[in-house]
Amino acid sequence: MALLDVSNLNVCFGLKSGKAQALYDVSFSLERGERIALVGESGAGKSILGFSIVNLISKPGFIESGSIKLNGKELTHLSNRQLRHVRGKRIAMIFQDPMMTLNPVISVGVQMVEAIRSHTSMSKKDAKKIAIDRLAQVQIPSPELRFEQYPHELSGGMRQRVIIAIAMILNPDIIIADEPTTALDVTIQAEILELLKHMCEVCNVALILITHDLGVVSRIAERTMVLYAGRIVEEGPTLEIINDPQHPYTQGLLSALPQMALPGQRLNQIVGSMPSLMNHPQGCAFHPRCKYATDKCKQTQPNYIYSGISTVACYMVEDMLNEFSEYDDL
Amino acid sequence: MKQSPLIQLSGVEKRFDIEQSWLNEIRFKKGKFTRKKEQVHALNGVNLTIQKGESLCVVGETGCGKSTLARVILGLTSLSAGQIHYQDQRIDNLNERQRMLFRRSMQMIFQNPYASLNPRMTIYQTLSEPVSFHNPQLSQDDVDYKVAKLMESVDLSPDLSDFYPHEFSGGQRQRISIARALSVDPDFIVADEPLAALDVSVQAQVLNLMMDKQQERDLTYLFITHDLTVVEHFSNRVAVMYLGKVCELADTKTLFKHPKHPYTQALLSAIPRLDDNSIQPIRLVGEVPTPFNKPKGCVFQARCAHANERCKNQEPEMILHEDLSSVACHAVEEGRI
Repeated sequence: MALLDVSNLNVCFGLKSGKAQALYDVSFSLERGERIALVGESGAGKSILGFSIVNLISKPGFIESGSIKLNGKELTHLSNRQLRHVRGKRIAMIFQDPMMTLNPVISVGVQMVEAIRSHTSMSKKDAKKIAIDRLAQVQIPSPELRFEQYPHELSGGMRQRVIIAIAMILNPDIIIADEPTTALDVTIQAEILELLKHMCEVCNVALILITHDLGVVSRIAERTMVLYAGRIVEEGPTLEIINDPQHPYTQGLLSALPQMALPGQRLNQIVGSMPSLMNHPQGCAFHPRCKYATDKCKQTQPNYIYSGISTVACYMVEDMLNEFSEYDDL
Repeated sequence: MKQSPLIQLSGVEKRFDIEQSWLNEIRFKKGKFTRKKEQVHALNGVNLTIQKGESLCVVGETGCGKSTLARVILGLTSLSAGQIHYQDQRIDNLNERQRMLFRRSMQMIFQNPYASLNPRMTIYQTLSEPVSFHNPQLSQDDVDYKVAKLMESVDLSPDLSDFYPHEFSGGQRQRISIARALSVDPDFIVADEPLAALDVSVQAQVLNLMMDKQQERDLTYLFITHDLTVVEHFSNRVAVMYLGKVCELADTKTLFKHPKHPYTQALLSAIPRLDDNSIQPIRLVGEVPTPFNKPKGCVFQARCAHANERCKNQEPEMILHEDLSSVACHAVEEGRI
């Protein structure tokens, strides 16, 4: 049994002008200790997916249908009270901006002890010991000193380390990291990614990394899911996705990167922009921007098909595979 | 034939006073009260020349003075010391009125297209204001024509000119910012992280547009970024900054092939690459120093693996190497790296 099993998840936002659907039939599973990445542009629904796993989507948003199972236990029906045992303890989150996540008027140590004591009945003394231990584990020099300090006394990279320490403090099963390095410099980013990977390996924690940076993905994730307009369009091993992307959107995303082109050459660009949630196009959501789009793409949503070791939702890939299999028959 | 550079910066320094109450500034020392102001050293003696038609990228971490450099060149912030020349004319000591002449030839594109466009002005107003301000002789029809041409040149339909900025996507807004910068036909454009707020596919659009305009109009760019993959793609030359100083200046190809300064090496090793992740990022030990108190010796020595006594005491000068890169590092000079 998979650690986390999400199936046919539909998330909507109820607005005055109607219902806006943010996620369409999202299904995936996550094994213990596995590191996966959710990639896509702004508005693709990456963060909504991350948030809806722990049911953190705020008011007009709601989970319309689908199931999220952690160790076989359904999470979507849980009350807020029950969810508190899951959030932080079983599934921890790391957010983009470390300054926003930490409380600026409470010292780092108190915040860490609070996290431990709200889920266990540990004494303050023991909790402090564990907290300092964790700070040392995330390679913060002189952890005893840092324990007493306030968030503004730490640098950005240091703050993100503290947040990783807090997320890891109760040995969760899953960590959801929402753009954990976007606010950081390249050198610090590399360190934080290394640390995140190392910590996940040491503690056997599964990681869901939400990012728009494909370079970051290739550094850390074993499996990648590409989201477009609320739907997973391609899923597979990271190396496979990067070296041999199947879906036209993934191809476009990759070829738009400056490192894929020769210096000074024009970059490939995907024409148009992502559709808004309010007017989701019929059929494949990518068809208005896709150069391979046919009439079929405009009418019905393609199903997921296996292409090699990745899963893709695209008629073009499907047709191509059918052609190949005809050759195989001969 | 040696052309004179378009922009020349010599010994540019910029210090900001930290504003606090005067009571906090008073110190009691040797039986006397003294008032001491703390300063942030944003730029510590930057020498840089920008040739016509090139695109020079400035890279470095947050707080190294990249943006201050941009603002200083455009005269949006005054200098503390040093000189700036534009085509052999000194421009840093001009008054507002005299500077107006140069504002036409130097323009800026800002990082955040959500903040840099006036939300209460339509696109037509945003674009026509600089045109009619700098060309008062133009008739209304000419201005309209020019605005329409500008919008076309950044792939926006002129029909959209009566819309407000909030009705556009991030990429479209950044294209409007570019159009606004181009509206006065400048020679030189400073772009301060123009891609940072944009998605990958939109980044490609904006980057392509900037490269096209450079070819069409023979523009010179000073491109400020922290994304090294963009640098490799876009620029001719790169200046790596660390704590208010340029520590390495080289052709893009040379820099990416043979980075010399230990900081540049660490920066390049940290790029998240798609293809090859075998390169282990070089870890920089120690904290990023703050620009409050100018450290003695090399600014990088606290985090450098190659630092020795000399680095701690003596500030390295920029030294020109055979491959035309200049590096400010004692270890490189002594051949220790």
